[in-house]
Amino acid sequence: MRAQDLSLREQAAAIATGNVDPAELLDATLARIEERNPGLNAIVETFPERSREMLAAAPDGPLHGVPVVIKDEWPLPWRAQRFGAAELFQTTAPEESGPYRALRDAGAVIVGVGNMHELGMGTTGNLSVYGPARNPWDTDRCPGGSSSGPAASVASRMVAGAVGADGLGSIRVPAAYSGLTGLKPTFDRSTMEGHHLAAVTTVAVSGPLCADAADCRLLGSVLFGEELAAGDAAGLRIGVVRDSVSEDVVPEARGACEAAIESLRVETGGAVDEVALPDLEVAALAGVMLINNENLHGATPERINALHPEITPLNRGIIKYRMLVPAVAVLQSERVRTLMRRRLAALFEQVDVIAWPTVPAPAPRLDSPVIELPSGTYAADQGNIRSAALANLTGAPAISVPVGLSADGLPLALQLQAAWGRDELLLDAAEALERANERRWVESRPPLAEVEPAGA
Amino acid sequence: MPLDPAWHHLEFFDGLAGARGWRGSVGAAEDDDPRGRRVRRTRPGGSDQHSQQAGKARCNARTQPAGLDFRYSTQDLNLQPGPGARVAARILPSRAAECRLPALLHNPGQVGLPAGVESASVPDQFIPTVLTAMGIEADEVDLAVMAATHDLYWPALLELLSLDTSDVEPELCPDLSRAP
Repeated sequence: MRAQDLSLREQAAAIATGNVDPAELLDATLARIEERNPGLNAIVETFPERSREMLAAAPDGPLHGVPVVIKDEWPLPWRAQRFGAAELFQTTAPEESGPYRALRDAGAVIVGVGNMHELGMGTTGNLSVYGPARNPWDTDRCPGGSSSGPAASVASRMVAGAVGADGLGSIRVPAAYSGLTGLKPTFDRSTMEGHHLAAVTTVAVSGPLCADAADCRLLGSVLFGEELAAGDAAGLRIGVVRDSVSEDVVPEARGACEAAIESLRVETGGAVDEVALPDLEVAALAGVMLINNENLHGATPERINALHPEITPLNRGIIKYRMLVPAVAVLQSERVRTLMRRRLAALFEQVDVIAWPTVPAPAPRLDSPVIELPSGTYAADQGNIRSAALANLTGAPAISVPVGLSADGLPLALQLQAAWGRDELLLDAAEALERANERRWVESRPPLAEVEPAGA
Repeated sequence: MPLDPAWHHLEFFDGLAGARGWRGSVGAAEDDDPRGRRVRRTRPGGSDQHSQQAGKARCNARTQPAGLDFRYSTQDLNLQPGPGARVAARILPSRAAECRLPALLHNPGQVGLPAGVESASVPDQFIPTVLTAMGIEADEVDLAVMAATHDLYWPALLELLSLDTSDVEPELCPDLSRAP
């Protein structure tokens, strides 16, 4: 197996023990990006000289010499973020962001910037100033968004780990569509320093996208600035909610998730209980209202009238519509946030995690990002946000774990959510699930990323 | 008033307007611009630059969105020709109400709309009235997208507003990293 095909932790260990030369790994990674990226558009910029400088100065950290990708959502000292768009309402400039510093101080080498859905305004990744990123499992499909490029770059094994951000499912949805593990941390646990909305956001967090939970633990620890210690998920109490999030789902996703929940119960010797969590659909809209409001930071009618011509017509219209949303809806959203936080806190007295499908259907086509659910046809964003928004609205952590493949060969995924600060438990539970299915799904790769023999 | 050449990519939509019977504000636009493209008008004040904020989101330190101009005076609601006539002409309710999202716009390569989003009617008053009040320009494409967005979100928003939260004592400056 080539070094590029090793997991994030295996790459780190191989470099630390001298079995892999980090300079050779960097060159091989850049060569693989050159080979695979044109068909995926996952990475929008590489900077080999900067990467080599990072490697030359890399300290002996937990990711010493390991190549990673960072989403186009944070500035680097040599590059301002573009947020997947021709223009932002906020001023940006090249600088050291929190995720950059965390990666640098861990010894990691940033090899590229990951594509993303324009302005973070979607969960599909089909809109971007750079053009859409493509799903490595089927390049006619959405990779998920808004962390589309980070997901596609890891799923295609151009790199073993990438830093994304999750404001309304933007790590979990691309993880689900791309067959990866993605952690949305507890609010404020991972670094957001240097993000252009850091001062106003109450929903967005940085987080890792990797092949499995152990790699997410490693990269997450770097972003958290503390070790996410491995624990034991024994006796895990799993809550399931009989609501649209678990029932208005395509049958194969529902079946895969129910099977995964049962295997997780068996693996941990735990229990599955049905729990009530009303008003989830209203909560999802509350999340939308809040993130919409926060993303308008810096927007004025004058600036909206002067929007860059390359902002897509869809998002131009949506931005203008956002300006019309009544303030009472935002205030009501804050009350709904309080309501859901209290309900969730009470629920986590009964169970350790709650589980439902990360997305209600596998990745839709890029040219028609709609999904067919039992209740009808929807824009994929609608279904995805319904499943994802609760964690962002309440600040609680969540993780997406691959649990199967559809008949079309597309990844299916289960989402686990836990109480505030219990990110480690989510990683423990995800690892238990991997054991339960003998790592079948975390080791599945799309055909274009099949493991290459070392001598090939 | 000069045309902004950067809008040339909208010729696709111009073509739709003619070929597919696009109504909307095209007629009004023709008064200003024979080719039916967007017409920019210069606004005083220029762009509002905000310095990038760093650090953690904290309620008491949060920077408020600056410069949002919510003017609800009757003068601003006046849709008759005046200083903002070019804007108003583009979003007059009588025009906008007829706007439809043509089926050809379902090519996301052009506009990014999912094929499943069907034609939607522009709300008669709400969108054009508030746009005018806020001084936000909109053309037929904007209005079509806004109408589709409105159809999608407004019923859910009403549901959100109808949820009885009168007994929910709101958290003031909640620490979202912890349980309430």
